[in-house]
Amino acid sequence: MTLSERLYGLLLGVFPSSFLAAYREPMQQAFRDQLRECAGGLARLGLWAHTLRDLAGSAAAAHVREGTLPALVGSGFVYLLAMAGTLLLGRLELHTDDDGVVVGFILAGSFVLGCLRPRRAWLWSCFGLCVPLVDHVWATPQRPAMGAGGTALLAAFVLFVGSVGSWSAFLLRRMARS
Amino acid sequence: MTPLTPAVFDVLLALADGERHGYAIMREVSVSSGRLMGPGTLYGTLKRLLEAGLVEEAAKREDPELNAERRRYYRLSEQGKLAVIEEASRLEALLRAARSKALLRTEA
Repeated sequence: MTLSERLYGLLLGVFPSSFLAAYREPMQQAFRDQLRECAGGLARLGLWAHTLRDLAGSAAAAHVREGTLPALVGSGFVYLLAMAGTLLLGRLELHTDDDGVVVGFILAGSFVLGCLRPRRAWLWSCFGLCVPLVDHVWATPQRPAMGAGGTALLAAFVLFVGSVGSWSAFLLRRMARS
Repeated sequence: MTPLTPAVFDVLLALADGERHGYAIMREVSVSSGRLMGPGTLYGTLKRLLEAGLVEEAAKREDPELNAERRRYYRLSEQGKLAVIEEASRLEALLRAARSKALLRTEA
């Protein structure tokens, strides 16, 4: 399986699960056929541009038809709020020596989000990635952004912290149910 | 009957001359209408057409022109044939009206 096929398979996760249960396999097959007919990198780029447009439009339509749009919008809204909170925190705290506050916030935030929507634990584990992002967004000549190595290290660290929070919530919810 | 959406009409038209699998429908749509249809739009449309009884699923089989993968084939139901004929007639009437107003060249 090529990288494009893997990526397409991941992106199919935006469709409602009832839709995917019936059409995941033929959709992947059709995408594979399209890829096979693409000669060269430019053609593949064009295919991806069209595929992303197609996925965005058809997934939204599928959610409307399947009645799963409110849950999707709810998740998106919660995530946007969480991102805004993290961005704000990153803006306020990132360049202080109070790293424990940031870690605590990511841990608590990803845990709460994981409790609210445990199925999206993978998404909530990315919750803290806004912290290294902030470092670059608000970089100034007086306060330059970290280098690539530092950013990667920080990203890995916040990803780890977020994963601990969200997946522990996921496991707790599962244990509570069983 | 309400007009069909372009995607629905494209798919029904692609199936008008026989059974096709998903990728063959996408290719046919691209040739006949010049529109690129992605797998998301195609299978979303097929799902609605199956639910409405306009399209039926045929047996899975290989396409010798492509590869050894087994594929789901789709065909028009009787209701689907009537729907595509009705829509084509509606579009033909619109074309006639457009020609009568000199918006289009008349065919020789």
